Amino acid sequence: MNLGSICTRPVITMPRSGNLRQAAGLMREHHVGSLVITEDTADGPWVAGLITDRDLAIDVLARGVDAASVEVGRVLDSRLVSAPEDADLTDAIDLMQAEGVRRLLVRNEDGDLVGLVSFDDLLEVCAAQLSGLAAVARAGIEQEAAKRAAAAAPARPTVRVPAMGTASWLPGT
Amino acid sequence: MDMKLTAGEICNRKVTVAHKSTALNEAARLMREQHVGSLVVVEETGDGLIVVGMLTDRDIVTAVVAKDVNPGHLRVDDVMGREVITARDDASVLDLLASMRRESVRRIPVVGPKGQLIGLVAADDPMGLIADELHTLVQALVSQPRREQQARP
Repeated sequence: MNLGSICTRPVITMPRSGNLRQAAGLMREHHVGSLVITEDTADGPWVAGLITDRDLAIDVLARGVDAASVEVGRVLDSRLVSAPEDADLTDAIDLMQAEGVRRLLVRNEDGDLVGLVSFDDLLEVCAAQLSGLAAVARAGIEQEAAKRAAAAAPARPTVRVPAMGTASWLPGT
Repeated sequence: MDMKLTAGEICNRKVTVAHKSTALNEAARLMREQHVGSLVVVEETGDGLIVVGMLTDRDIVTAVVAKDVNPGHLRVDDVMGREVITARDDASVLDLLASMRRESVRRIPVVGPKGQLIGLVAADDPMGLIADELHTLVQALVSQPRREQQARP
């Protein structure tokens, strides 16, 4: 299973010049816990960082400032960990572990952002795989049981026994 | 060998709490300071701290948008989840998982017989446990051929 098939698409983004109240509104509207923040450049929008609902709620409110007055660009986490869309489950887990993150940006061959994959997404895939294996085990047990049931009642074989005192064979009963 | 795993045994006993009247920005400051994503809202009684609700960082996010009031004027009880979802300390890990699923929550406060706060279980906690148990199972399967070889060289 590669990241391209696991990741969530499209990614909800907003420009870094937006404010945190707008960010919260977007998160609520799309029911997501994070947004990718972009920066406008001459080459088009570039990914500048990530902001999570945690960053928003905790940093801003803890500091006692009005969300509408804080530019997203000031609060975002610019430590971007990305992986190619052909990376597999193991690559993604290793990367999250090594970088200490629970989200990865997923990029295509051209280096463009195509999706986001979270710890929960990976867990869901692993759980599905494990359920699959459990079903293999169950099916195996059921097949064994079915075979044993068939073997317990075989068709009666024809037994040929020599008649006592003669050399010929008579069919038995 | 009797490994009975209950909510009381796996829960985290260090829980950050707040009161219903705590100001929301104070609650946020607490979350940041303690590096937690939620606060258990409690009331002090003769039996200890009684759980009256939960406040998560996500509740705070929706509050920032939903209210036209400056969120600095809000209190914990303006925003916290209304339902009190808890698990008994003698509930099994399986019961816990079922509760989390049924109530669609990632964290459940664990309480004693009088409803007093004992600890908090997050969805991540049983994960390590399940992974370890699975590993133990795999080890058993892997060592089985070795065992057979030793018994019948």
